[in-house]
Amino acid sequence: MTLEQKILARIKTEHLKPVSRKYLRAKDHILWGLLAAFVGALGVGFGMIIHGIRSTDLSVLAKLELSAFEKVVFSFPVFWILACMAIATIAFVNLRKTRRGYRVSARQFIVISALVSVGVGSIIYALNVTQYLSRLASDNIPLYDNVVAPNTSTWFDPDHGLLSGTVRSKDSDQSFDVRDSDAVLWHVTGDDLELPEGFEIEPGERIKIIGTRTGDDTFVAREVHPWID
Amino acid sequence: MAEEIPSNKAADAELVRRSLESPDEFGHIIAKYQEPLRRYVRRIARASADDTDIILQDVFIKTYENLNDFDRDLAFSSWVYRIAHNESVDYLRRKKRGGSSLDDPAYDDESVTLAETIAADEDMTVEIDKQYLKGNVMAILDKLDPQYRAVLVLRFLEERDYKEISDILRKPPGTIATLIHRAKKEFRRLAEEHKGRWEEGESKTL
Repeated sequence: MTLEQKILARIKTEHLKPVSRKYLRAKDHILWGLLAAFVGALGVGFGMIIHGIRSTDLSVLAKLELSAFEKVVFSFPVFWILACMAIATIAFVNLRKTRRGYRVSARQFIVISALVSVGVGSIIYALNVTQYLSRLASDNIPLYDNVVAPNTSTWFDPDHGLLSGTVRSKDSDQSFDVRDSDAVLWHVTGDDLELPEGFEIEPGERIKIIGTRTGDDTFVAREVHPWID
Repeated sequence: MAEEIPSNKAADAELVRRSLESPDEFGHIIAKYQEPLRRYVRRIARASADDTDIILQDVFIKTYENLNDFDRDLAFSSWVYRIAHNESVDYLRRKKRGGSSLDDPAYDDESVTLAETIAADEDMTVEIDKQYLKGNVMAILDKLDPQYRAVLVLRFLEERDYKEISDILRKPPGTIATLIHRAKKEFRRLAEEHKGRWEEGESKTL
């Protein structure tokens, strides 16, 4: 029996059939859909990186007593940087599984994915989507502030002189009430209060305060900064 | 030299179309590609004649089962070589994992071509004479990493261009160029090492 005869006999006796086009097409669509989702996620991730960097007030951070490690963690959106790297790696593996994905080298992929994520991320950030997502996550996901955005959670540590929240009412620049993320209403006073140039405390404004806790819900402010989203 | 496969894209596409309609038509594909693939499998998997036949059966069965997945922008030969390559590498892996020794590679006249081509390309003739290489090329090839062996075989024995090798091995063309460069360097290093040991053995027997 020749090789040809053996193979044809096997095809017939084992009732072998070519895998259907529909199945292959569906598989292809899933792979490309996943790739598109990863690219979108990369864009969101990059937008969150921009948001994280923009929300970090380095001049204020310098005044806090932080270790070198804490400074790095609080200055950069480390979580989102790592998340983007992980998403890019998964996207690359996924790309390689597509029909012609092997033709794209790792270097080409890095350049393309960087360009796409910067482009998509910048658009998402410009449209305030990341700011919205960040606030949504902060309000609804436990530990989000501590794990994902420690630079923002840093600002809620009254025992260490850091308070943040929304101004609810104002008697003067030296006396106003702030509601924190736990819905506690703080009465803030500050005779020698420093405000950045051009900044005014107004009801509805989100602010960051450096000072001293003087009671369960009272705080003496030394500096007040706007919350940058 | 490699046997020329008439790689007419349209003719291959027609064979694929007919095979999808009737399995008997697939016999034409088997007839056309079995010899080139047998040679390639032997070179990469270092399998005995019987094992090569078994590998080839699996290669053609997989080819048949995946006919609908054949990318018509590729040369059919690149696609079928890819399947053969993967099966050969799997066989090699299984055999190594099972601890069995690889079959002795049959002396292959065409391997001399490989030695000569690499020697000329790397200007190795100054240090390692061609006669020595001709007699030992298979032993040196055996010591190469399988992916280096594959690119050298595909480039110098199967005479595939970079794009075809890229399609067969599913690696970017730039990576293929790097692999070939590294494979030639590694071949040269092993050849020098092998020759040193061979000369030592020769002098001891004198």
